[in-house]
Amino acid sequence: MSQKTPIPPKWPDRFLGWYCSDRVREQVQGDAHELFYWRLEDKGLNRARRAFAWDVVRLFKWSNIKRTNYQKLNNIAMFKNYLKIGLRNLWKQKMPSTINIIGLSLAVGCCLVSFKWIEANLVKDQFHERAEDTYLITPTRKSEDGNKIRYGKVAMAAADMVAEEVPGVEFVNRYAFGYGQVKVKNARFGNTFIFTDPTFFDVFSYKIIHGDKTALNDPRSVVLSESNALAFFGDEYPIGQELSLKINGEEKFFEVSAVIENAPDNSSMKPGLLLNFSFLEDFADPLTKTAFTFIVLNESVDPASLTASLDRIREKKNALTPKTPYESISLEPLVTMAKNGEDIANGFGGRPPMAPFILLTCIGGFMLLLATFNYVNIATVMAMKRVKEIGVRKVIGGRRQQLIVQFLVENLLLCTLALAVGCLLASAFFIPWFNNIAGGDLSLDLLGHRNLWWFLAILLGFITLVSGGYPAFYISSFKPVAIFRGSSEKGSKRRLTGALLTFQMVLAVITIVAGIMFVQTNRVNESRDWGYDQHDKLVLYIPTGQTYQTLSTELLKMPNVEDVAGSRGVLGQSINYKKVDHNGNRIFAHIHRSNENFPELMKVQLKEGALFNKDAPTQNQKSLLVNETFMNRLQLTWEEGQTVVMDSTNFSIVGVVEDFHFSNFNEVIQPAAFHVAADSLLTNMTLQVRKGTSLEMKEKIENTLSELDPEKNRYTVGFQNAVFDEHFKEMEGISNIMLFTASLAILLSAMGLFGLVSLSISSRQKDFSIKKVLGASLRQLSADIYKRFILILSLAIIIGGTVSVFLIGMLLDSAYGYHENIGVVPLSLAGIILLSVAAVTINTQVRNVRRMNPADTLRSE
Amino acid sequence: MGTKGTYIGELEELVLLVVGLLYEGAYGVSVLKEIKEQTGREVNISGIHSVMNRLEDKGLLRSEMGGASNTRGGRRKRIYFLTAAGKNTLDQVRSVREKLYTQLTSLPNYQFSA
Repeated sequence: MSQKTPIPPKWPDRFLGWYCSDRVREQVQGDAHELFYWRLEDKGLNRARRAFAWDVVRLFKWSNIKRTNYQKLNNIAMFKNYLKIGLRNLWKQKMPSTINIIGLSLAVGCCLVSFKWIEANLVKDQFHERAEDTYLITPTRKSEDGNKIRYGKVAMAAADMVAEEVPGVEFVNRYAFGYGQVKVKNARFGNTFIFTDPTFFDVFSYKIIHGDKTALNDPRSVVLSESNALAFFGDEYPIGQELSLKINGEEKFFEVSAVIENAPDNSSMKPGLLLNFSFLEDFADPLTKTAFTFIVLNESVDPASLTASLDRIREKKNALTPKTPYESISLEPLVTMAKNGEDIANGFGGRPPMAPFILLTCIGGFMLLLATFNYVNIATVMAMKRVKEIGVRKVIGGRRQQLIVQFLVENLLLCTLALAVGCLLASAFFIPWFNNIAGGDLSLDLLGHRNLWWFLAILLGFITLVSGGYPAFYISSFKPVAIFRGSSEKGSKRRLTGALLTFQMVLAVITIVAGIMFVQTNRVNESRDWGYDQHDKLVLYIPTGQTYQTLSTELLKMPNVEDVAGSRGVLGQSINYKKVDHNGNRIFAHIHRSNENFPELMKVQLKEGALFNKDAPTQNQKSLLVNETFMNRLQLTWEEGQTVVMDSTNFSIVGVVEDFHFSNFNEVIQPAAFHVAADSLLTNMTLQVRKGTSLEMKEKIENTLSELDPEKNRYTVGFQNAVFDEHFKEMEGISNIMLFTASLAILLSAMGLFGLVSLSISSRQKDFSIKKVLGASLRQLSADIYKRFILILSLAIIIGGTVSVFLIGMLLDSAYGYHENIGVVPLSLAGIILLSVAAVTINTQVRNVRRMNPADTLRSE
Repeated sequence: MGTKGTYIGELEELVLLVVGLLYEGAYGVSVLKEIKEQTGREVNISGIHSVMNRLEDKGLLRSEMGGASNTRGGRRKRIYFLTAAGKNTLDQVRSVREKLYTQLTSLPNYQFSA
C-alpha cells in the first residue's frame, strides 16, 4: 500500500456505485465514504475497511437499488409490427421455414413420446382424487439376522385399530392378493383375486364403467376389470353374470356388480378381480395374516402429527402377538409408494429400469439438437438476406435489445407453430407407434395434464432461446455502416455453421450405427445356438404332479410322440436361483428341477461325467448336473465325486454340460444345474415329437388332454422353441425404435444440409453465372459446391464412427448379454448411407445450377 | 391534531430529536455520530437512511441537497430538517409519555417488583 491517504476498499465501493440508483447514489456513497474516514481515525485501517464493506452490504436494499426504468410507452404496436414482419418472413422464405418447422416438430414429437413414457414410469398413482391424502401403513420388523425391514403389509387387525386410534381418518382400505381359478360357465381361467374393503372406490379413483361405488358392499358380488370382463364374458353384458371361484378350497358363486376401467400404466395397483374382504377374514387369522392397508386422512390432518397414535397401534398389536413384535409403524404416501418400492419389502413396484430412460432421453435430446442446429444454421445464413432491414432499424434508432427481442418474437412464432405440429404428430403417429412397439397405453391428453403443460412450456422456451438466441445476437450485432458499405465479416459464422453441421452429421452417424447394430445383434441372437435342441418339443402345464405318470403313459401311446419328460417350470421361462457353496466360494445358480430323463430329452451337450442314472433314484436325489459356467465360477475342474453344499446338504456333481440359455439373450449365461425332483413337484411336461409334426400334434394333444380331464377343461400346449418369442418381439421393438431414430436423424440432417446448400448456392448465383459464361464446366461448378461439404462429411464420419464404437458399445453391453463388436461393416455401411444421402441432397441443388440460365441472373443488375 | 399517523417508533423518535438538535447540519453520518455520542447506541448507516426516508415520507422531515466535503470525495450530503409536523409529533409523544409517567409516580404505596 502507498503512504498516501488510504481510500475505501475498491471493489465494495464499485459495487455500491453500481447498484445504487441515480437518485440516492451521491448521498449514500458520500455517507459511506465519510464513515470510512471517521472509522479510520477511530479504529484503524483494517477495521474501517471491513466496516465499509459491511455497510455496502447493509445498504444493498430495495429502496437503494437501481431499477431499469423502462419508458412506459404503448408497446403493442411494436409487437404487432414484429409479428407481422415475422409472419411475412415465414411466408416469404418458404423453404427454410418449412425445413425448420418440419425439423422442430419431428423433434418435439420425439420428445413428447420420451416425456410421456418417462413420466408414466416416474410419476405414479397421482391420478387418484385423494392421492395426496392417502397413505400406506408400513410396519417395521426385525428379521432373524437383526436387520430392520420395513414391510408394505400390516396385520389385518390393524385396520380396526387405525379406525379407533388415529384421529382424522376418513377411510381405511385393505387390499390383499389371492390366486386361484375362476370358473365361468365351462371355461376356467387362472387369475389373481384381490380382497378389499368396500371403501375401495372411496380411496382409489379407477373409473367405473358399469355399476357404481357400492358395488362391493354385498359380499356376494365381484368387480371385474374391463379386460377380465371381456375375457370371461366376451361381448355379453357383464353385470349380473355369474362366476365361481375357489376360495380356501371351497367353491363359491358370485355375481358381477361392476366393471372398472383397466388400470392405467401409471397405476401401481392393477386390480383385475375384486372381492369383498370379508372372505379373507372368514378363514385367515387377522393377527398373522397381512394386507396392504391404506388410509385416507382428512385434509386438515398433518400425517407427521400421528406418530403417537401409530405407536399406540404398535403397542396394542404387540400385546396381542408378543412373539412377532413390530419395531415401529410409519406411513408412506401413496404418491411415493412406487418410488420407494425398493425400501419396502413386499411393497408395490420397484425402481423403474434405467436403460430405457437413458435411451429415450438421448433420442429426444439428439433429435432436439439436430433440429435446433438446423435452425441456427439456416437462420444465420438467412440473416444475410435481412441485413438491410437491420441496418435501417438501427439507423432510425432501434436499439440492439429491441432487435434481439424482435428476432426472438419471430422465432417464438415459428416454434409455437412447430410445437403445435409436433403435438399433432405425436398424438397421431408417434405415440400410437410407440404403444404398438412397447406395449404401453400412452396417450396425449392435452387438457387436464398439468405436467405436460409444464413440459411443453419449458420445451417452447428452450427451443425458442437455444435455436433463436444465437441468430438473434449475431444478426443484431451488425453495424449499420458496415451493412450499407456492403461488407460484412463472414469468417466466424462460416466456422460455426461448419461445426454445427459436423456435429449433426456425427449424431446421424451414431444413430445409424446404433440402428444397424441392433438389427444385426437381433438377427444373430435369433439364430444363436440355445445350448440344447429346442425344436420339435411341446410344453404343457399340468395341474398337479400326481397326474404326471398317468398323463405321460397316455401321451406316449399317441403316434408321433417319441419321449416325455417332466420338470418344474419350463426351461427358458422359470428361474429358481439358489445359493451354492463350495469351500467358501459362494455363487447363485439356477436350479432346474426335473425328472431324470429331462436333460437327455432336451439334448443338452454333455462335456464331462454322465447324465442322471435312471436306475439309481436315491443317488439322483443328491446329484447335480451342472453347466460349464457353474464349474468356472466355483473354480472347479472336473473330477469324479466332487460335492457342493446347497440348503446345507451335500450334493455331488455327476456331470458337466455345455452352457445353455435358460434365460433370454439379454443376460449372460449364469451358473445352472439340473436337479432331480420328485414327481409330485412337477408342474410341466415336455414332449419330444417326430420331426415336423409339432404343429399338428399340438392340437391332437390338446384334445387328448381335454378328454382325459374329468371336468373336460381346455388345455393349451406351447412350443419349446417359442419360449423366447416375447423376448425377441421386445428386442425387435427396440431395434425398430433405433431404426426409426436413425431415419429421423438422417432426415433431419439431410434437411439441414439441403437448406444450407441451397442457401449458399442462391447467394452465389452471380458467381456461378459468371463462371458459366466464362466456360466453366458443370463438373468444375459442382466441385466448387462439394468441396466444402466433403470435408465436413468425412470429418463427421471419422468422429461419429469413433464415438459410436464407445457409445453404442456401451449401449449394446447394457441391452444384450451377447453382441458382436462394432466392426468395419456397420461403420462403413453407416458412412456409405450418410454419404449417399448427402450426395443426393446436394445433387438436387447442383441440378439447379446446371439448369440456371446465366442471362437471367446477370440481367437483373 | 388527529391521532392518526402520529405514531412513531423509538428509533424514529430518537432520529427526529437528533435532526432537530443538529439543525442545518443533520445528514446521515452526523445523525449517526450524534446518536452514538449522546446515547452510546451504535446504529448502522443503512438503518439511519431508512428511518429518515420513512420520516420524510410521513412528512415529519424534509430534505434538500447540501454542500460537499473532502472526506466525501466531493459528494454532496442530503440535509434533513425537522418540519412543523415533526415538531408537533415530538411534543405529542412527550406529553403522552409525561402524562402516563406522572400517573405512575403518583400511585401511592406501589410496590415495584424486582
